[in-house]
Amino acid sequence: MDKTTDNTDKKNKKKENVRQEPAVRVKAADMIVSVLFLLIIFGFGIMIYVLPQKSFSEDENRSLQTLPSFESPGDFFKSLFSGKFGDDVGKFYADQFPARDVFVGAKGVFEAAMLKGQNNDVVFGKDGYLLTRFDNSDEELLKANINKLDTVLSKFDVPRYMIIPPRTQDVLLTKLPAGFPTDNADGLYERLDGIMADTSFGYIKLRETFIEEDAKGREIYYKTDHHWTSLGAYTAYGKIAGAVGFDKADDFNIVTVTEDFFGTTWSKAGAKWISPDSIQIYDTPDRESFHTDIMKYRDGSDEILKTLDAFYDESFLETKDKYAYFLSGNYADVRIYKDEADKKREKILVFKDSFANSLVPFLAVNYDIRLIDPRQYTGTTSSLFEGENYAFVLCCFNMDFLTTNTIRMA
Amino acid sequence: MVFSSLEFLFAYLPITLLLYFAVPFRFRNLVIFAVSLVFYGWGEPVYILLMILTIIIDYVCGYLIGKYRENDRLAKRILIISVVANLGILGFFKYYDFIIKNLALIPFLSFLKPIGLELPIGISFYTFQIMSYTIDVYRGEGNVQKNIISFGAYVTLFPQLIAGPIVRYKDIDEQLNEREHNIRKFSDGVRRCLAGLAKKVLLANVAGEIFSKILETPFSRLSAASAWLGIILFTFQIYFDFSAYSDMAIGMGKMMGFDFLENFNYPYISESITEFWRRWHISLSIWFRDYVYIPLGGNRKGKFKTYRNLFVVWLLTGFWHGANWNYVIWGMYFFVLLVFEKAWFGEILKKIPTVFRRVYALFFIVIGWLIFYFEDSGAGFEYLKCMFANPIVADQTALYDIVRLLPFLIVSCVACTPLPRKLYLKLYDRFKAFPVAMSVVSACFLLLSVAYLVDSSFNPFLYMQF
Repeated sequence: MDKTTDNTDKKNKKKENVRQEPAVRVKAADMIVSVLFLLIIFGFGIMIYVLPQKSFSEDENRSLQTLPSFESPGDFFKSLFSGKFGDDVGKFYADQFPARDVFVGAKGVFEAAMLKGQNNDVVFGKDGYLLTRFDNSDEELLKANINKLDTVLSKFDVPRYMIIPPRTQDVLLTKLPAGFPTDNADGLYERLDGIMADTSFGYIKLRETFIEEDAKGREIYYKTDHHWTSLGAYTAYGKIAGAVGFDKADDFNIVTVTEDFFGTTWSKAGAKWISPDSIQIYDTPDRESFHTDIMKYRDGSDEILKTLDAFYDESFLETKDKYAYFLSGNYADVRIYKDEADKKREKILVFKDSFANSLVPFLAVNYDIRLIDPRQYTGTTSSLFEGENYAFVLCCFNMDFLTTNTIRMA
Repeated sequence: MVFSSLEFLFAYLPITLLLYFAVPFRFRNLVIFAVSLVFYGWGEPVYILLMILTIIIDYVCGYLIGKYRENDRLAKRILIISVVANLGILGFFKYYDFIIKNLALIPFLSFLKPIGLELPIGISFYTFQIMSYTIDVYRGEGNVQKNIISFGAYVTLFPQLIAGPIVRYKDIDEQLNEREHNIRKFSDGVRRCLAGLAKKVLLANVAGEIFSKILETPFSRLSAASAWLGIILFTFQIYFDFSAYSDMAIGMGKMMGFDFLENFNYPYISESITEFWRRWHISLSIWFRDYVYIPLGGNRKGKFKTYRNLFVVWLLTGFWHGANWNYVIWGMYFFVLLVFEKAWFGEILKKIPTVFRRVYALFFIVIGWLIFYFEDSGAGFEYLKCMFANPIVADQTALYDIVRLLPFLIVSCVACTPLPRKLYLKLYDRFKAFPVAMSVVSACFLLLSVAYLVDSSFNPFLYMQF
């Protein structure tokens, strides 16, 4: 800090801008901060290479960036000059950082301690509920998606219905923290009503019913995941039965298949202190007569990849992504049958996202089902209708999906 | 590469420190030069060549000015070549598209098309920094740097290469050749660096993320309260972001024995706009003062010339911040306020209580940031309307966010004042245990910052575009 100055003007300026340091130096403090600093940056810096690399994160359900590798020096320079190498290294450090889960949890704790009420847009709700916050949604995209579905499906002379499972923040009003804004959702659903009125869909509204059920204390959505519970799906099933006019089944045996489900919002929120969910299924007495064929290809051809017992894939109960227990996750083309030699069952066509996976066990009581995921299906829509006589078509896409994905249908 | 990134903190920095302290003193500038080129090239490898070209040009010019010092006309010509070359490069890479886009508005020039050049990182900073070399050498205020490695180290010095502080050559001249390394300096550097990192990651990024969310609301639905909250968050963000970068730059410089001048002095406690510009981005103000304002005559050639000189400085200051009209408007906005204070209001200000002075200053500072943020002035005007002429004064979203963010806002306000530092210094000298405890706390803040970096997808750097 000692500087030679050559005129008073400069001296005065310097006085203003000179940073005051403590009068007394404490050598131990200086040593400690330096040593800790170096230990941390060298320690973690080395550990990241010494520890084995992970290629997939169970907690976050995504693949992780591993150390970038190159076939040749030419490859390396290409990657370097395009900036990709720099990006990949950045991702590598973020994904492979030692004790990553501890750090993510630490941030969650700190954000909660600062009383911010949320972390990474996941709100810490009441009773251990985690709800993703959506202030604004892409309503242009919502309208475009709905109109796309309407346009494509109106070419076929089959009754069509649409349900739009809401997001947790839209319906779990008793779980939202005090003062949480509900007007954003109110406005959105009002405008949604307008959009749906302009289509030829039989629009089956869910939001009001779900708000009522939540007010009654029914657990219609998971605490740690964005999906609805089987109870929530059952409630929706009841609404569909009412709108379409078929008999709603109510003879079920409720079975808990796991009590250790940590869902998507739990991963995102870093809220490690939140307790897990349990997953229930609603079994019918004739459960063994149902089976699910998951098709191998995405273009609608008839080769089967695997067949599930009833509607469930037990292997997922051992992993983190337990919701995939329902229908083994999302596939382009899934077909559900019941072995019934005597009666000829009706069939329905369902265009869906993951919410339909836990709804299907109910609908299957009444109908055989063909499920198409438009994100993956590569065939034409008309081929789905060829030679089929569907009782009705159902579109099931949740609000988050419709406001963030672009639906493509041929 | 950004300071507040994991690869910088856990790869680049340890390796740099290791190399730097492993070699004997006479090779340390070489280490700096080499690692700084790597740092710079990490984002844009191609522009290293531009950097090296600039270094060679100014090294040669500096040498020639020194050699022909007796022949003032020749020396001056060489200086002009250097200045034109530097400004030419800056002008081309930064302003070419802006100029073309505006010329294309003229009917018979509408064939002109912008090239879409990527801005070399830090070009505004290092160009100004390198220009101070030839100018200071010409004026006899700095010695010719015969060692091209040391000169290269000066230009590319990675702590302040990308976002300042703009270090004038004469301030660092001697330190390039001789500087002290000891635990005291190193630990001071560490503390400063970690404070900056925490400020950036825990305050700036947080404020910025919320402001981004607010901007996602269509302005027709945005309440006045949310609009105000948003621009106040941006006011925090830009100060914490930019000053944190300077903190880390000064801190890392100190670890390597350099003493840089302070770049910020609690600007938001200012009691006038005049004072604000003595506390904000000090190195830029000093640069313009020494190399534009004073050469034009400063305030010593009468009132008209003083105002003209101020006008030029503020036009250039605005323009330096970005190749867009809103930055020019921003510069002019402050020019008007400064003249206003200088000519009349300054005297009145002295007579009103401090709290009103601060409210006055902060009000205009915040509005200034609105002009600065919105490159699309149309959108900026819409936002301004949301703040002042909005039927929706407050809504659920605004109230909920303001309440839940109160602790954060209070912490941010306090962090803008000298109070924490004053308290720190007081306790440091008073209690023996305090310094040691604070050393551990610093390390904890490092770990907390790392937690935020590990779990984050949001880590922008605002002054990166300069």
